[in-house]
Amino acid sequence: MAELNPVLHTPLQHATFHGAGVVMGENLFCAKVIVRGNFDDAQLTSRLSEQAGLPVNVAANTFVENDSAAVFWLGPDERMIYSYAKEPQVLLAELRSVMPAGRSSAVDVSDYYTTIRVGGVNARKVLSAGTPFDVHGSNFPEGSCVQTRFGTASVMLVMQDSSPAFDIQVRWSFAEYVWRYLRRVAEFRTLTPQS
Amino acid sequence: MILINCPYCGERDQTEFACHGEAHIARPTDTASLTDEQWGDYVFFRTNPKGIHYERWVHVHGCRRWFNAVRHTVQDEILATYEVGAPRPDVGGQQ
Ligand SMILES: [Zn+2]
Repeated sequence: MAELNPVLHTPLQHATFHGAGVVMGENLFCAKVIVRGNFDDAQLTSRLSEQAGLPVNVAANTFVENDSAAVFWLGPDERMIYSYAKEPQVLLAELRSVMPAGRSSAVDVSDYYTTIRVGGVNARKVLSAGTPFDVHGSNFPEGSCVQTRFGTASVMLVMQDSSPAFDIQVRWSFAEYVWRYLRRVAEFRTLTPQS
Repeated sequence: MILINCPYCGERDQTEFACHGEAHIARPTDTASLTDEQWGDYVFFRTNPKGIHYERWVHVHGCRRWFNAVRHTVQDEILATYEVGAPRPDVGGQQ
């Protein structure tokens, strides 16, 4: 297997930002595959779970993750699978090898999306300035992922931990828009604690 | 802010959704024998009620699934949402 070079292939060149109670950065490149199929099929589900290294039959609006992979719910018949260790084409081939032809699909979207990590005490405020989804902990606990809107961009919000730290998955062409939006809100004067 | 209950994701803000007109309109199967008037009815004419309306919606910014909704066209209240293929739900005999 070729050496995975996570420094390449990201729209924001791993930009970082720190200030106003917000820490942001673009995550490293990773393999991303969208799988569509019948997840009520126990055989398909167990085979895919084996390949992904994680259970793929996750509940609506949730995800599971370990050191080498993650599985996100996108719809009743759709999952997003990340691999932090494998090349995209390797992950794709492994998943396809257990999928019945003609009744399911796997598509490499590694270069179609990037993710931005937003953390810090004001992270929730920054997020809520752009999305209609209620990101309060009572509505958006750890382990949740939701597809929603940020500004005019379609995004997936991922609740990584309640420190808090969120990931925003966004399409490549909207990454700079979302990044600038987040920065603009983070730099807004009223977010900083009054001295 | 209006919340719409996506059958797959749960309650979400209306700005995540788009409406695409009346639901439960089946494409004619005997297309070869249809008159121009019958085609016209199928393509262009809708019930346009004042009151209960059955509509097709899509969760554009969410799960991107299509579903149906029962909406009151005067109050703009969504009374029920349900999966495509399911029968019209009972919304308490309102008109
Ligand atoms: Zn939905």
